[in-house]
Amino acid sequence: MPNILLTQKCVRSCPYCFARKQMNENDGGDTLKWEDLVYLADMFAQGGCKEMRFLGGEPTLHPAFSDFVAYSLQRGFSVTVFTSGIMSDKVKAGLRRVYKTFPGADKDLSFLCNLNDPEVSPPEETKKVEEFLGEFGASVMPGFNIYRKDFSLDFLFRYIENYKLRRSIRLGITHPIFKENNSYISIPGMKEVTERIMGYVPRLIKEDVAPSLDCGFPLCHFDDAQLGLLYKASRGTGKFTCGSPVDIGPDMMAWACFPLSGIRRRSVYEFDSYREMMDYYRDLGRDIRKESAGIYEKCAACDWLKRGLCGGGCTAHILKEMDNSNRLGALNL
Amino acid sequence: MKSEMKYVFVIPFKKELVEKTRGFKVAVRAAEAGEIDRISASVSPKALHCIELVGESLAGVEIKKEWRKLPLVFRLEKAGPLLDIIPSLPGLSGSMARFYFPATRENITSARVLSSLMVKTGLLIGEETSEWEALEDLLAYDSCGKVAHSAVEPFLRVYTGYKSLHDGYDELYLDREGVFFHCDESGNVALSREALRKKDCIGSLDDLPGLDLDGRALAARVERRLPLAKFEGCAVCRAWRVCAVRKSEKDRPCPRKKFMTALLEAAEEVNRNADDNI
Amino acid sequence: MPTIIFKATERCNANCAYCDVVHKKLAPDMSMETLRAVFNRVNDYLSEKPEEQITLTWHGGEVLLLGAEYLRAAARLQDECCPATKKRVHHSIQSNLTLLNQELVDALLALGIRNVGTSYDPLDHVRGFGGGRDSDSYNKLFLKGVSLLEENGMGWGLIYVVTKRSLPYPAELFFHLTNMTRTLMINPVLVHGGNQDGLGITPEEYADFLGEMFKLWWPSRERYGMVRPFSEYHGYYSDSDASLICTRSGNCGHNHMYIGPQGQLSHCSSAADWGLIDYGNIGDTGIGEVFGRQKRKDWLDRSEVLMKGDCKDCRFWDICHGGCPMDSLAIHGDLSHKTNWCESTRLFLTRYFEPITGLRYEGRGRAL
Repeated sequence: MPNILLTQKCVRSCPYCFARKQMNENDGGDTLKWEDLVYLADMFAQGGCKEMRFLGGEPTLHPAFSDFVAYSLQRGFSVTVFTSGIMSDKVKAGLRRVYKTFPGADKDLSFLCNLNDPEVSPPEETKKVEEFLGEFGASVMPGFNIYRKDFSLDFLFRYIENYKLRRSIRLGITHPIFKENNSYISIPGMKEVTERIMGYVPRLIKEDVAPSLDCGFPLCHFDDAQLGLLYKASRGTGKFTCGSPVDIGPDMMAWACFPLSGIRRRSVYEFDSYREMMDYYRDLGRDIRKESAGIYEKCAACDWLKRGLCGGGCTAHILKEMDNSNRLGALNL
Repeated sequence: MKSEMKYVFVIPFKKELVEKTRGFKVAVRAAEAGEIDRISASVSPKALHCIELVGESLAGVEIKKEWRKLPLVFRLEKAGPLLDIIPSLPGLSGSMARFYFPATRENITSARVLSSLMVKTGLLIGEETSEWEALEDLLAYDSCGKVAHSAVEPFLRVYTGYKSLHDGYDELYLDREGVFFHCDESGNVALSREALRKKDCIGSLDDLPGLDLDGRALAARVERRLPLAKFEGCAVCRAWRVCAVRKSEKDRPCPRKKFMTALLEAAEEVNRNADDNI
Repeated sequence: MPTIIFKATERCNANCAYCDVVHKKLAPDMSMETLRAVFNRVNDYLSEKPEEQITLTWHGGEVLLLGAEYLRAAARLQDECCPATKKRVHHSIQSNLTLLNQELVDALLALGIRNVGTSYDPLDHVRGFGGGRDSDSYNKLFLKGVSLLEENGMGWGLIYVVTKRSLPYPAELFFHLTNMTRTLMINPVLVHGGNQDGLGITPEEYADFLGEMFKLWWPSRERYGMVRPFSEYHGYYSDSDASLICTRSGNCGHNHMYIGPQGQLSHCSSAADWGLIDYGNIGDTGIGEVFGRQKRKDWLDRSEVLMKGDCKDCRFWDICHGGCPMDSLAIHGDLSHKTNWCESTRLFLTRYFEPITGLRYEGRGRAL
């Protein structure tokens, strides 16, 4: 389902930020208009999509953030907000009203909070995050973006216990942004990252915290034993295929995902339906994969890829490799 | 129709004014929501054109269950924060009440949001209106939107009546001269809301025959048509039939023309789709 | 159902540029005696033909100049002279409406008239009062007249006469006129024996003018209602029930008649105003007799003659029937020729109607 960027403004400067290119190009000035939210709600409702996912920048910076959440809940959507957790008192007051107004909000409203290790974060940011977690923790699923191989997840266990967060961690791995020079984990580096994650799995199982892997992890980076443990740790979930989420900017431009934000951007208004939009960007992924099945040469012959169990790694890596070897012409990006 | 029922007296809620206008249709201006029950008990449903309330914002407006079938018309300055409105939504959207706002940029947006939440809204579109582009955008949403929503006035009026419409939509605002006669607390009668405000009265409810309602109605009908005496301006505009303003200036492009034409086209499209069962 | 064009007066308060009556030497108004004679003849006719109905179309001049009392007197005379047949007598009226007041409205209602035919031209000085044709005052009074009709729950239909002055403004005129009414007829100016004030138009000019209007009417015809001749043609092409205006019906010989202010009888208004036909006087000639006269037979034969002659093989015969017989009589002295307006019908249908609608006419009810 699509991610809706409410605003390009942000409160942090994360070194791994996928959205940096977007924000730099748009000077943070755009915020999603009410008219466009209504349009998206209608489009999603007609297309059978039942969830609104609000992103940014920092979505809580949108001047009508609480009203946007309330509107979406009132329209019958569940709402997930991807936030840093750093928000003003006014926004928190708005959220309190939302919970008061919608008795079902504890089920229908959730936050995916991408947390940074407090050891390497400015203290004032950490303080704000912890205030947010202290009040709304029950609705928060912690997330962590892996942008260096020597990452630590220890602080997340602490946060989950102290603030009663949802017992799950969304693990994202940073990917190259097409035609940009951002920090990301290289393909060889991903194997080390995988090993390090597996190092945490026993603790995850012991403390009943389910890992949720974001897109881009290739299946072959895990041996069968590791996959078995992951299956148990994640409570029977786990995907290794491309998410194809579709991102929609505050100016109603759509693109496949942040790493591919520079290509095949189209206005949402160009699509006649939700389905047409989702199919368009799904087909973009397929077009790329027709040229190169995955991040490894062996992906082309991989049975797991053919059976749909593995996506062959992140499309952004594939594009980078094709760009390096001058094979992008065939794609008509 | 009995000739008396052609006219509507717009009166504040006072027992003696209700009595004096017996036999006519009335639109009652309630000073506050507490009067609604008494108004509905005092005026028969057949005679009650509507109950009008004026207010600041939609926030805090509660529609009681027993009011849901009453023709309530609210004139509000703005909608207000959505979180303030949501608790009342079941009553608002489940009733016949319609909420009118001046056609400012903010209110045009609010009308769309409220419409998508099934609240009946309307916009006061008149000579002072300037947000034509935003209105056209709202019209596109209202007429082409594929997801159920509550139609916005005056668009709905035009969709349903455009074939026979010759006078525009101003009757929605209780402001059609010769049809609506506005009264003050003392029973003085004026031809319009604005005339009453200026105390420019034509007579009193104490002397109904002296008001010459038929004569006023005829004069108003003629006045509305007067631009058609010339071969210029509004008279040759294709959107004449839907426009309630009709005050284009000689040798100046009319700022309303594009929107009013779009409104007419939208009405046709809506009716065409209805005929085709789309 | 016979239609009698009934001119009780030729007086008019206006001075419309294209009017034939304005230029005539005017007869005095119909006297009560003659009016009584008319109703007696009507009663005779309807008594002989129990299945028939008659429409008396009050015409002028300007009918309302007769005054409310005259019209009320007509209603009384009808009651008196047609006690058993009055229910089969219908009245209609053509009026410029500039004199209408409530008294006259009540008098019209007493005659059973609930719809009024009228004419209007928004262009300055085509219709108006006095030598200067003050159209400003005229138009305002006209608007007051139609408003009064509507206040009384009556309907009205508008005839617009296309003149040379109209030709540059088809779109503006179309919007203006349809802003006023949903019952509109657009006719060419009929000029007999001279080109009044240079207002005459050619058949091609009329066809092109209609064509420009048709482009606006067709896509939004639901909105605009009945605009003749467009609605007529559409009816014929789509095989729905459509009646043709008298000039195209081909059967005016069966059912049209004229009675003038002095009781003079003729075929129709044009025939009388142009002095083309004289059937005698109502004082000594009955209605049935007029319809039975030899000259009527010429009308009935006209179709046969045209189908073998001027109109042979014309695929639009059903829609046109050779046009107004008076055009033939005025120019050729007989009825055996088609109208000079034939070309306008053909051009309009082939140049505009058929290409725009995608329909093609091959005869009654056979549009492809």
